[in-house]
Amino acid sequence: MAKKVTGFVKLQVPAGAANPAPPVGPALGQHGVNIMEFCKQFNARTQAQAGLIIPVEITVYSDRSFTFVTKTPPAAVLLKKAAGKDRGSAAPNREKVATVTRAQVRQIAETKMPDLNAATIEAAMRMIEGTARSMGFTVVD
Amino acid sequence: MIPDRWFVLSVRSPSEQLNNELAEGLIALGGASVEEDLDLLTSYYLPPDDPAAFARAAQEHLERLVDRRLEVVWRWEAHTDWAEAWRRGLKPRRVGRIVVTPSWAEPEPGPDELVIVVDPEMAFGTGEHATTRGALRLLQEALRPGDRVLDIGTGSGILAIAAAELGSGPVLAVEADGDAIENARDNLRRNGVDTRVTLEHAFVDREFLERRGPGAYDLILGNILSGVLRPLLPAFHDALAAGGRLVIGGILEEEADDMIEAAEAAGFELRTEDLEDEWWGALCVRTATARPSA
Repeated sequence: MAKKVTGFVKLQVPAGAANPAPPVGPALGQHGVNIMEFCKQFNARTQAQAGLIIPVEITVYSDRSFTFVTKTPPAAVLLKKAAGKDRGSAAPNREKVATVTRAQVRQIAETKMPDLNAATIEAAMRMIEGTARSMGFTVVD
Repeated sequence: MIPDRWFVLSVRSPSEQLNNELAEGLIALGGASVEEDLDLLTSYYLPPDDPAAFARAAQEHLERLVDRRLEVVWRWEAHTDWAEAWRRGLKPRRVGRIVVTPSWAEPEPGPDELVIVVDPEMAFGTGEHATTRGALRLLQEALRPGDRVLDIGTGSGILAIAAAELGSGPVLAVEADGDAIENARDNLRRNGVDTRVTLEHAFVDREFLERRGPGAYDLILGNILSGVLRPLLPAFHDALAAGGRLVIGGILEEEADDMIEAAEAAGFELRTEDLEDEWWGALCVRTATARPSA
């Protein structure tokens, strides 16, 4: 018999740096989850992405066990980090505000691949390039 | 630091696409992480001197970040012991000869068993976690009487306490997190090993290990994360005496091959592997040959 779901929690947590301070502690503690175990697993799985804020969805079951799924930050956020810009262009067609390299686009496409509806890395790169253009970012080789 | 009450700030996100950026903004203001409840993003802060001014500054910061007007609200929330529900369910756990128990449970140890009392607070390291059990198993194999032990990232202090109870020499337990240090100090006292285990509030890096001098330890324990442990392997090698042993844990199964390769490159020989759920740990022995100079 499938375990009954008793809680569903959505959080945004710094990669590799989850700790039991609120909201993680109260959000999970009220469902009886081993808070430290969540932190340890989350940190082990996300340590390579240090510097990013990772969206995570946690499902809690009636026996207080849990599973969680991490998402990737939006392409726009990753592009801004790559370009070292904190905002996009107000008029992306006319005013280009930053450049990113094709290698950076590939890296972002690889990061985003699990969340994108793309069959190949090239298709994913085209999606990321589209987002870059809509922000007034130029992609260079 | 845990305050009596938390300053709780929420912002209504105008679009799901902006949630991540707003979360980053809330964290940049001093929040540890962010909870999402539909379109409401919430983070918790230590009480500011002037709450209204803090909220105004937060609103300006977030609006600049996403270039839109935003709705920001705040309230106070009393601190509650949120781990209580989980803690109530804790029971003594047997790991080899060691029985790990919270102070309110009454284990019935066998003649050969050692009881360690660990009350879980805001620190890593209870018998409830697979990496802690793995490290305890490897420690029991690794430890020799009188060993000089270094425990890095001691958390609740559990491995340092176990080492002392198993007959080690002096133990140095190091922890970078202030909340964990308090928990470790309480646990050392509870087990009556606070004279044999020295607690130090520090971040362990290469310089820290070099200051201890070459060959200062017979056993190093590190149940942390692969990303923290891997770069320190050569320094562990130098800090260990001839025949010294290293117990590592907190490593995902898929990272094990990389870790073994790095440990061998640093002059260690793999002795025992431990796997529970997805968590891998190992006991390595320092080889007599010096590592090739880097």
